[in-house]
Amino acid sequence: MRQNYKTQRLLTNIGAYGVLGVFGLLILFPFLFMFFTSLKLSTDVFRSPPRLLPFSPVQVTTPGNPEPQTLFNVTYEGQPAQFILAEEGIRIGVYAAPDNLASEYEQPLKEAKPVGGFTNQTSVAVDGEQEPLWEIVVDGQTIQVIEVRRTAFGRFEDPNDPSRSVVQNVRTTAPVERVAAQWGNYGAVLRLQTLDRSLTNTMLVTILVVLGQVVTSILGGFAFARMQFPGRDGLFLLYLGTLMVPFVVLIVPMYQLMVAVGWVDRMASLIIPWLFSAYGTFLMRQFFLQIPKDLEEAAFMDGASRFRVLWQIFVPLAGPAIATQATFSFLYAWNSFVWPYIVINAGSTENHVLTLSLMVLQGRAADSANLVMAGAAIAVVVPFVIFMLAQRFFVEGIATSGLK
Amino acid sequence: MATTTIPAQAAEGNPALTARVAAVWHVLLALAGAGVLFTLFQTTWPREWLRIAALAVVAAWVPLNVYAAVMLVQRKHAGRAFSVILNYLGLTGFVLAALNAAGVFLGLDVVGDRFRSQVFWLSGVMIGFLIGGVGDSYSHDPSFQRTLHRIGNGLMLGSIAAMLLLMGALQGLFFVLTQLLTPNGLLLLAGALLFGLMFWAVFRPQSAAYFGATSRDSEMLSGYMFIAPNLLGFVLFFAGPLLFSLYLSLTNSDGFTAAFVGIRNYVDIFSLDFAQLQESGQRASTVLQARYVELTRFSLFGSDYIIGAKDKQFWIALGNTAIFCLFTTLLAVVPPLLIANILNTKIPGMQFFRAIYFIPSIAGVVGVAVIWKWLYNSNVGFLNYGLSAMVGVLNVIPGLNLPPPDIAWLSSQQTALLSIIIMAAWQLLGFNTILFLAGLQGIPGEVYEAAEIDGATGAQRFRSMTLPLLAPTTIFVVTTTLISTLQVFSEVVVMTPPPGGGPNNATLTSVLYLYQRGFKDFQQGYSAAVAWVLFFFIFLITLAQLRISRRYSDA
Repeated sequence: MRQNYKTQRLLTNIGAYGVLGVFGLLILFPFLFMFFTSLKLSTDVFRSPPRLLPFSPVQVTTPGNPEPQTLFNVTYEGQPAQFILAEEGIRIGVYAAPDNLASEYEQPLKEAKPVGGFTNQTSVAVDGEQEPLWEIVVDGQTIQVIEVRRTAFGRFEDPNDPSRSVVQNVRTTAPVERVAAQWGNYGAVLRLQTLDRSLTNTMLVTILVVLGQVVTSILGGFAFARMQFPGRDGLFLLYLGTLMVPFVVLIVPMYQLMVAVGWVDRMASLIIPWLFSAYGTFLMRQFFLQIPKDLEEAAFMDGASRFRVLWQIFVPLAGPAIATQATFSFLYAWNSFVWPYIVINAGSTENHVLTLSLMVLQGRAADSANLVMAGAAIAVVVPFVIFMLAQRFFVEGIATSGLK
Repeated sequence: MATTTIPAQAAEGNPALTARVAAVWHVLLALAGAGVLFTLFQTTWPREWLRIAALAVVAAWVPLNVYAAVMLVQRKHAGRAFSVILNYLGLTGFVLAALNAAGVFLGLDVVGDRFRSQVFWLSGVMIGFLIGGVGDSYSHDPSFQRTLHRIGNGLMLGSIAAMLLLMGALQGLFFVLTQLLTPNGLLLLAGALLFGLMFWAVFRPQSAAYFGATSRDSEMLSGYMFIAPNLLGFVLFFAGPLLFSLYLSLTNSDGFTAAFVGIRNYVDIFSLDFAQLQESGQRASTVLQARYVELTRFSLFGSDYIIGAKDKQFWIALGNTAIFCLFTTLLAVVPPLLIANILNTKIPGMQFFRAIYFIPSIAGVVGVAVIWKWLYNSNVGFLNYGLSAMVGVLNVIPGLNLPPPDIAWLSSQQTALLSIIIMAAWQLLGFNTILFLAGLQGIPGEVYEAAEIDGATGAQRFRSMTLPLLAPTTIFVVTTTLISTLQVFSEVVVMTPPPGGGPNNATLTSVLYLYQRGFKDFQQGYSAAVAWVLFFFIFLITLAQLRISRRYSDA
């Protein structure tokens, strides 16, 4: 009976892990795609069918040539082999018999001989058009054919033994590839479109906004939680009400305000209006309300000022709440797009933030998905790291403060 | 009324003298305010709203100062309170103006430039933070922990100091000071100093005692001090713009000039015209009123009708937004609800999966949209690749000969909106699953055990127990998803190239539409009106949420 219960539990767990894993993969896949594409060569991006991992062609150096050369997969005497391209642009004609266009023969142009000589070449009517007739030798037999089209072939040879060589179509010959990461893409994308400036701008904006919101929220939350003043409760209700007002309503008036103070296209418009947070104030107030009053009353007996009580008693206890609010502010500031898109002109790149640059980049660098993905990865990884760090901090904050 | 005589020698620290001086000061301020009010009435400003706002502020300023002066003379504490608040406001105003004159706000651009060259100092801050974090785990060895904390904090502070110095903080400070030494700057500085001095004089303990301030009074003033920075931002960047937005929606503002037009914008937005057609192919212009454009036609009981609208784009955008909103919510709520129920077992490693599920919601819309745009690529995208692989598997079934799906996704009118719905729902999936899991974990296990003993099947339990008990969570998830999806904008802007809206307006959403009207056509009054219409819908959802959740909390 007990054994039965155990197996059932094990099966349930395996099922749960299966669901978790599949669901996790579904959620992770776009990010895996982003990460691997950001490490690809730009020639590797437009491959169809697509593949996930980044591949690079394998290169070798031959004894006589210091330049590294790409290896290709070829068939030599029926065996697969890896040769280098020794000669390009060998002109090849594709020929077919006039009565059987389906079976084609490939021959170097100079090996085909005109029927009736160069000056007086015989022609034959195919699909209502006169086509010159040629003679080629296939498997020892001479046949009369017309030229369907021309193409260029390459001669591939063994890098170690140049006598082993094969002539075949370059376009259909695949290079030898192996998985290799192009880490240089990250540097390249930062040099592109002044993306490095956008990145540091985003950092600066985020740091200042987080600091500002934390400070104003702590002060405001303390006032709402611990002080009596006329109009406090009405004001608090008003703050709560703002949480349901969508930013959309503020777009136009805020823009006109920025025009009036001359902050359009300037960093100030991205920072100063966002130093305040009704949500953060609410969060801090709720947290401060939980702190027992005895703590501060003892301090007031000793003649401590309100500011000292806040700074030396409330703030150290509020570690988890501050970490929560800082994380939310961080994510909000780092990812904000609507406001920068409105207030920062697409032309003035020096005050761009990362989200804006990323959008501009994906429009302009449409042919290098690898660079676009490297930019996206930079934009995505930072908040993820911060989130992970903060998650540890939440737990530790709760542990050290003794508040559960 | 105050008959206190002031001894001449008690010039310093004399609260009675302070009260008198303050009363005179407030009378002067009131007079200055009246003068400003007078000139404001006479002049016209390029921005009418700014003049109205200034008028409102000064009109409140004058009587408040008069009141403060009267109360100060009468030695009432209200006088001190009003004096403190007014001086504080004046101080803030002059400090902000002085900072502006010194170029501090616009100088943030320069800070951005310097920040780039010194940004690597942030790694020092980071390392310091990590050392402190390592220290946290040595709680069994307090002295070592203290050392680690000290090293970490020192490294952080040192890095910040080095960064600021090398960014040229000192030169910046010097520049700001020199900017303040202009006549304009000196004037503002003098104003700030005067207000600051008066603030300090009235606020100090001697004055408090003179006016007989109780502990309640001092608590009130401190409360205002603490809330002040927050409130300032709230008024300047939220409440003020909100009212301004309402005003703008009643004007024909083009960003520079604005004339009051009443509710005309709203009327234009909602104007519809119904007409019956003589024949189904009849031209719209022959039956609709002037300025109305055909929206749709339909037939009912054998006769054909046509609906025309003054603002066709608005209705298209509203329709797209409604479709987006409903389907995204459906896709982002139902699967997480089911998955959360499957996962509602306490198994190890949940932390790890939770972290993974969080990633899309913290990743930011722009980055995600950029990624998905490539997944949607019709030639080399993984979505079409995956679908054709699936079709290939299905075609193994004899008789089934499905063609390979060659979906154009974002560049086709039929699928463009769907593509964005899928992406938006994907971004919400993980987060909603976690919310549902948290809600499920709040349901006590005994309830289920009792039901199991009573012989309820899994489906029965889900329908008649889990769903009602989970209702508060579900309501929260549904309404927040509805509200956030009603405001969809970034996704559309990033995924369908500028000016946006996709093939034949397939992805024109309400916010994108108001953006186009406000910032491409510069009809900002109209744009504000569209925003308020959207706000109205969001408000309705919030009301419904409050109603429904109240019913559940009563039960």
